[in-house]
Amino acid sequence: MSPLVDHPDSLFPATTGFPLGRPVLPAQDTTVKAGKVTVPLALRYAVVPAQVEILDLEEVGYDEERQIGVVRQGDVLIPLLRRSIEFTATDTAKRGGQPDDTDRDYTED
Amino acid sequence: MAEWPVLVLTQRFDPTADYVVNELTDRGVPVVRGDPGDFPTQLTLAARLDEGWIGTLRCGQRVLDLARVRSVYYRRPTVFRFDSAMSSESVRRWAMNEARYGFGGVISTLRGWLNHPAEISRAEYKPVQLDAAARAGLMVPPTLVTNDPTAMRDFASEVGQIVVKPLSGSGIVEDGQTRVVYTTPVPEVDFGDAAVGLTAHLFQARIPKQYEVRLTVVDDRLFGTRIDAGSEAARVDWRTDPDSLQYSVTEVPARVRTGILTLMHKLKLRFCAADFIVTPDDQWVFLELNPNGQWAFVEDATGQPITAAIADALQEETS
Repeated sequence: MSPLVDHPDSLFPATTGFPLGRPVLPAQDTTVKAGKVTVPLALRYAVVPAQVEILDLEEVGYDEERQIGVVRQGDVLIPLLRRSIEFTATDTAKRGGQPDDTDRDYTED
Repeated sequence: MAEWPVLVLTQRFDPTADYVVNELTDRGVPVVRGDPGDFPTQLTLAARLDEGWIGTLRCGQRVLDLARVRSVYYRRPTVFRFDSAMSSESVRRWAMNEARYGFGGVISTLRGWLNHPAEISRAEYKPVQLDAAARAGLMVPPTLVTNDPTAMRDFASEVGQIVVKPLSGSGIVEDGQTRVVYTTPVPEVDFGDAAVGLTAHLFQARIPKQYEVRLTVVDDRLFGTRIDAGSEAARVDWRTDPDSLQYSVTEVPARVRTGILTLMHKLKLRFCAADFIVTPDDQWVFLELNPNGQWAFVEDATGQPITAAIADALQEETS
């Protein structure tokens, strides 16, 4: 998949912010020789992030009139405001039946 | 001016943007919220060039007059989505580029951005922001960007304990599991490791820490939040263990205030979320900033009126 598709910013993907090269063609996979290091050092320290809350996207909606997100609690819809947004995750398919990861949000930024 | 709306560009699931939309609505300021990712399937643009771009952007039931936009709040849009009936991935990619340069090009000319995505894109480069921070008079850690294992080993020999940080802030998804790289001390056994040579790495001297500060800046309004970590992991990087953190309002020293505002000016930003270490002798050391960082958790924890400050900034007349 091209970097343009991967990046969440649809107007100015950072991937094109510094045009050392344009991703015209997909990168070619190359066979790694045995014994070679294959993972950059920083990734050696990668960890699963702390997960604060998991939202069920089946319960999350959007109020077209107020233009804000809402969540179902019992029989009523309440604004998503004041809920923790430090980390949310879901495996539920989103609009168009296409799963994506844009509902993930980390406190790191 | 009441008829001049604020355009909020973000996805539908963005509770942080909800804060601002709610505040503006409560103030009687009209808001049009749209996700560029809905272009072209649910967003319709018709723009003609006059003395500037005039025309409309239709977002669901709302129609935005391009010539009468008060300001634009750029949050977390999604990528353009195209009809799956398009003949191939290559065609969709071509269409995406056209959308980006066409839709994005017209929208980019609107006034009153907080922040303009082009400036966000530039400021996201840590080497750029660190360079600007140093020139702005802020204290920054000794820093090395390299893919040279020898240079990394020499740097460690010079400064002592070092940490590695991701340059892009992105995680990695493998086998369905997301992992991220936080600020991590590099063990001495890894000094000079060949894996440094596989891509660019950002190393910094490990700074003695009394506590950390999240400094949220909206134009010239500063909201300093002291973060005290309650676990060993959080003392290295507070993002690793949010449940252990305690937040409190803190005063920003005059020299830091001057430095961060100078940095914002250099980077052409009106908003940022910046992180500092405060050393045991009360020196503020700039770590990084996020030009589109999260801030609602700070407001929730401390009561600082960041929503109101952003709404004030967006409410300003720009014509």
